[in-house]
Amino acid sequence: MWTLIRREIEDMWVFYLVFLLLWGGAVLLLASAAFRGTEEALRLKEGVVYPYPFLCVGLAVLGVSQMYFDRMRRLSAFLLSRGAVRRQVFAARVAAGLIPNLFFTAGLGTVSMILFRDFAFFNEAFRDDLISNLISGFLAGTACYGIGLAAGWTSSRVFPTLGTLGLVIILLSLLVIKGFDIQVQILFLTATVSSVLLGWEIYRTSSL
Amino acid sequence: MACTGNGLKIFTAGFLVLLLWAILLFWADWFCLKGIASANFRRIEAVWVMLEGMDRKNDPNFFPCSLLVSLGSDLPANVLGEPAWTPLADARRSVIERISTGWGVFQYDAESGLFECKYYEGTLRRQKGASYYVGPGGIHSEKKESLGRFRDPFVYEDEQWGKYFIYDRQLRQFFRLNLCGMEPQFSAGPVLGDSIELSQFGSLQKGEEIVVIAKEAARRWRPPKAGQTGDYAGQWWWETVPSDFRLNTAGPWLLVLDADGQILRLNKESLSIEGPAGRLPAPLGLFGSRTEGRPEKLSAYRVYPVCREKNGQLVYWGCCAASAAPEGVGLAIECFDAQGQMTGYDMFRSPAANSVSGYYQEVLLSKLFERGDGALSITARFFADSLQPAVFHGLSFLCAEAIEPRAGMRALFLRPHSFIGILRRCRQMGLPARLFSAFLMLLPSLLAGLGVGHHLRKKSLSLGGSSRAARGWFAAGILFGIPAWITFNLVRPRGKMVTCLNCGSLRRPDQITCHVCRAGWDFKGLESPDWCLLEPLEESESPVGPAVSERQTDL
Repeated sequence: MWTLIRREIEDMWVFYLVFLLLWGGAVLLLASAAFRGTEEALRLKEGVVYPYPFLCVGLAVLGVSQMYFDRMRRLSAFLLSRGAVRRQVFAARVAAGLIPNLFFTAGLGTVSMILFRDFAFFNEAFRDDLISNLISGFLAGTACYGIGLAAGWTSSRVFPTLGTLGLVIILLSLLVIKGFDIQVQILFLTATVSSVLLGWEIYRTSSL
Repeated sequence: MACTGNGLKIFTAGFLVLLLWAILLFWADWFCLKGIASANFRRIEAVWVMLEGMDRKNDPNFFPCSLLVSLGSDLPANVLGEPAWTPLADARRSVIERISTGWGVFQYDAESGLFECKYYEGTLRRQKGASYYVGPGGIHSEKKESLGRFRDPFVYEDEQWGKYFIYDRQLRQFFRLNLCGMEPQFSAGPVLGDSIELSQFGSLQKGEEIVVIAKEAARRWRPPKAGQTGDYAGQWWWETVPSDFRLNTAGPWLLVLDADGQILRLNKESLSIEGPAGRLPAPLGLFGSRTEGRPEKLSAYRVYPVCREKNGQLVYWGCCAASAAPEGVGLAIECFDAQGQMTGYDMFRSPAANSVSGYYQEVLLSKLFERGDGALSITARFFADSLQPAVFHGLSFLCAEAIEPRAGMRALFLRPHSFIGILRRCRQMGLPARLFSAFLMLLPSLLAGLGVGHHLRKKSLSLGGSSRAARGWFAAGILFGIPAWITFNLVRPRGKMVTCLNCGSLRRPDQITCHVCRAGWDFKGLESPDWCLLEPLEESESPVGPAVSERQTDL
């Protein structure tokens, strides 16, 4: 399993590099805002959500790329001939998509909490808002990645990429409509489960 | 439905399509709602009140208005991303404020059940100055058991940092704290009676959309004449309130709002409720029905206490309460004197308070349709409503009254502010009339659903689906309309159909039998009969008669 996950990451290393750069940029921006003064530091809980639209788009394109290149290069057919089963290949793919999102969110949360404690002051309400925003951002990322997985299993290169970007924009507008509360988290979680299951069904029933 | 893939694929794809379709329709509806609010705002949603009790009929050219209140057109935009509104939602549990030399922090600590009051010099990182702990039992510089515990407190900052009123929802008590003097002062009020269910205190406001326009400006403002267009209200936005009037404090009183819409006066000294100050007015909605003037039934409201400064003292003059209908179109305003008696009301109010004013109908509805954008927005919104799946459209009718108006503006699946939802709240109509009108409004989405369902049923059968699956798609088409059609196209079998050797119709290559004639794949075509002809027949005995060539010869 670990080998399969490592293989997925090695295949898509460009995306992971982009995610790392995005995370570094976000941390720098948050730190500079915190150093500017208390008022800016108090807005950190809103500031942490700004990198998420970029992360979501990146994750959706990652999902599309994983499925598209698998189909085009017949990667799964090769892996299945080596003793792996489809379930393992797909699970490794999903894990490889979740890892950057998880590390991005955990890292951003830790940094913003440290900045918040040092430059503003500890307040339970602010901490709850910050955690709620991070959870919503994480679930938005997983939902977008799932949509990418479900849409990526095609032979066309243009439609899945552009179509997925359109769907991601529509889906992310949920954050504008509903904010970052529990309702939007439930919707994103349901969309994640649905899209990953749909991606699995498409992958499972396709001839390789 | 098994013919087009397994159930999991259909349900997951269906949910995603439904969600994305609902988001798209939400934005279509939002733009229409904004168009209606904008068209409405430019015309008549500014109302004047006769605070001073003068009769405007005495002088047709002079309106003795005291306040002019307007409903901003940004209501649909403001509710986006907003947390759900609940009673006391606007009250805070902590106050963090920049004061002259640093930061003042007054925050509730849920673990100890006490408020902590700290002063930070410069930035919040460097704490300096005294810290206090405040509980229901008093105030002290150290945490003590004798301070007790707050259970569910909310705090209101009265005019300046250091002056707080605390209300504990579970203890049902008000507390007053003043940190501004040499020694902090703390006092607790009596326990409130069971008849009072507090919804808000201090600043009585839901949303930011209702704004007051100046008293002096209101004097010069004229109502629109019939057929006249223009920015009647908008031109007075930036006027200022005269200096001797204060619209942000009730002087010796603190106004509190009961859950049924009553505005009450709380004595700031004794912390007991001493009488009524007014009530939230009941606005008329888009279809002319009067909404209940209760906080959770209104999309926005605002209470302006009016104080006049005399010899350095603030004298409570009365209050002015304005409220907006659930769908954000329709504003009502009432003014009350210092004793809570109504002294003025808006121009849409008819003599019989509960009937719909003819002037209102003439002004609001006809003016909305007078110019292109209002009519276009309303028509577009009706079509957008009709694209909603019939099942959600029907449920919107049933649940319209149960959903809080501001939350309803952000709803994705159930839309209490769609026309059918507004119809549900239209109390002036009887139930049969409402049901019949709802059926008529539901008809376009039902007919669209019926068409989609019929198409899906035929398509499912032609693709080799069982009759059960075809019935399922028919029902899905009726209930969900276009999303069902999109889902079907996403999950339908992609393989090419082949011609059946038995019946000649197209059949699925991945099915054992032809879905039309039930023939299998091992069909061998025409087979020879069991019997055979051993000897040639005599020409006369031939059952088909003589050969054609012979008959022609005979002729």
